Amino acid sequence: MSSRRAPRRAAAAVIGSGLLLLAGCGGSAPSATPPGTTATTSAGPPRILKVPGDKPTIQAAVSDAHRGDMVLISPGEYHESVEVNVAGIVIRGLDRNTVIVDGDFKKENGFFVGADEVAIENLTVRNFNSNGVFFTGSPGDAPAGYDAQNGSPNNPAGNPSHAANPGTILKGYRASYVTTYNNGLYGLYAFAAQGGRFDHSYASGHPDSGVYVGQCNPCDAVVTDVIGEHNAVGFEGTNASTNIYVINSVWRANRVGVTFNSQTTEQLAPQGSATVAGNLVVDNSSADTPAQARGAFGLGVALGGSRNDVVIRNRITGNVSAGVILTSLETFLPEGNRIEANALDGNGVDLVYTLATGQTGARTNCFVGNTFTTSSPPGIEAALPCTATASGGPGPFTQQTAPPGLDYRKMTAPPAQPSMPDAATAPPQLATAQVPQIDVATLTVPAAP
Amino acid sequence: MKDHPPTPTFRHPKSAEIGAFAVSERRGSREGVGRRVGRRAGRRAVIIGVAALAVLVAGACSKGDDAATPNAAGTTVPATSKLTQEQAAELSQVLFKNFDSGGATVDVVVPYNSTATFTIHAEVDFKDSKGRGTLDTTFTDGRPPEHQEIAWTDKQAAITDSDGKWQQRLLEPTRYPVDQVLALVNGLASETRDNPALLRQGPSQFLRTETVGTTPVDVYRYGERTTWFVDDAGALVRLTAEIPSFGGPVSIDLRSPGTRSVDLP
Repeated sequence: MSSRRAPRRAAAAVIGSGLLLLAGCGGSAPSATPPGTTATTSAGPPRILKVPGDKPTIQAAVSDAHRGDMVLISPGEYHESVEVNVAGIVIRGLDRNTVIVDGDFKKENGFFVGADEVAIENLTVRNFNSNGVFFTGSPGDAPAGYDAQNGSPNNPAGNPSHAANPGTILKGYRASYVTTYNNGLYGLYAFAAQGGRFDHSYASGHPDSGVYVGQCNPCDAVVTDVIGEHNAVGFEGTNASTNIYVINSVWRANRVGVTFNSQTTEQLAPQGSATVAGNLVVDNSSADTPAQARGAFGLGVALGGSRNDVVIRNRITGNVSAGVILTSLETFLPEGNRIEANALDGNGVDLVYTLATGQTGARTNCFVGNTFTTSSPPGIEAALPCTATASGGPGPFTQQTAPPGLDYRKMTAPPAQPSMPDAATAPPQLATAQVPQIDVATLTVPAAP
Repeated sequence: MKDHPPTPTFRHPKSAEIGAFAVSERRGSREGVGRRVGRRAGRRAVIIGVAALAVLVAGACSKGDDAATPNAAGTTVPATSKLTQEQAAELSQVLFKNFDSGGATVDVVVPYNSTATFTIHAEVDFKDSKGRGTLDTTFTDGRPPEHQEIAWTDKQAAITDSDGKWQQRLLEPTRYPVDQVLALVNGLASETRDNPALLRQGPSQFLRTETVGTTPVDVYRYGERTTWFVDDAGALVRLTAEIPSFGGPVSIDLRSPGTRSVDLP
């Protein structure tokens, strides 16, 4: 098998280089060893494989694709689950709202992507048992300290949870102008993946989070111009650290708007060095949502056991339990997080720093320049300043009672979302893995809705 | 009765032999067993149940538990083998499928110690985390078998005493072994699926295929200390769990999945 793979990779590299120039997104060489990649069988110029014109199904087109090809899908309902094992392709719908990949609540994932530099664009994915679009490397081992049943993590010191076998990391992924709804876990999901981007996408009706990025460090990921609503959680980043930005997005009417957290159920805990900026985080107190597994409700931005995250210049309103809450999760304490220049109003408590009963310490979090009226502890910016030694400790917090959850399979379909411009003619762009260059200073507090 | 050591059965609270399985003196809780438990409470029960499962099975396995396992055909599944995507997907939906089905008939066999085994036969409502049935205790030391009625929610447990009167108390899995078992039953349903990606990364394994009665099943080790028997339709038909303080694995058989209307005393 190895004698056959080598020349294919060489051919793929040549093709990929050409496409990079064509698409104007150079600077990153094609991956030599994409995880799970099945090498393509021939060289040649990039092709457009039309579905159903050239191939009857999306899977048939993907299976025939070479690096640099684009699968272009005409409007219609496609009742299939697509596994993508070829690196460096683009899968695009001609119309975001009428190209629909439907799992009928029988199939697992809309797109299961196990290869590098794959982009999925301009279509809708719904009704899958697990995920709408899932980018992932190969699984490693359970992290040290992992408790198999999640009930009592055996990590009393909150130490980093790294596994002996980290698995394989997927490098380069993107979902743009994708609508996902009513899938059984996540809408857009990246796990053990680096160098990604979710943009101009939409997620609703998920019993976990609409958008999830987990187990990566550095993540080198950007979530921007996304709407997440009527999910249990809008965005979640578990053990997702370093160069990860959740920006310029709307997280509304979920049970939790945005959360970063550390958990021993995944590798690479603790989570840290993420940025949440320029988002509208409103009314995450909706009963029109599936339940959240831990019973969370009414939280705008929640950092659980996070370290050195920055929450800056977001508008956070109408979350009945808390606007921003820093707390411990499992045995991980929140440390070194900075909550700055957010506009908060109408939350149960605008700013909260609290720890689980019996936990102490973690005074390195700071609050500065926020517009708010209520906090726990009171006067939180004086008690936990960013420019002086903290004088205060955690305050009390009681979450509002969560209403019963809804069946994700029966959630209302979302309204039509804006399609990708020039979907029929825009040249394909690979999802090249790059360190995101985000100038957070340019991001501003969004206007009130 | 005082001539015998404590037994695993529920006892009347005034009995001098109140043991680990006893009904305590605490009665008249504001929320009685008969009060309908809402869906939120049901979700809590799921979480508590899984947590309790972790607690009750913690430390039960030796290194030998991770050894390679022979399958029905006599071949061996390496202990380090990962679940395939398909296997992880099947396993991930089992608890959700129970929740979705509404309920089941369960037969629970608990070898409590060298002299006593108790069996619960009950109807379980997974949506609201409650059940009702019978508890039979048999002994190997010559004592006559005992028969009682039992009912529970995620918060309360109740059992009939020797006069046939219901005694109730809080459900306390960390205090009473029988409550561990009831919490385990409550924990067999979840409003959400497991994440197949994390299952593949964790210690769960496919062990073998076999039959339970005449039903072909896939057998998985889920986590480290429970074994799940899943039929072709993805339904859990048997679960065994190793509980350190018990005399052997707890076995739970599930039958006739579907909506249950459980009336509590």
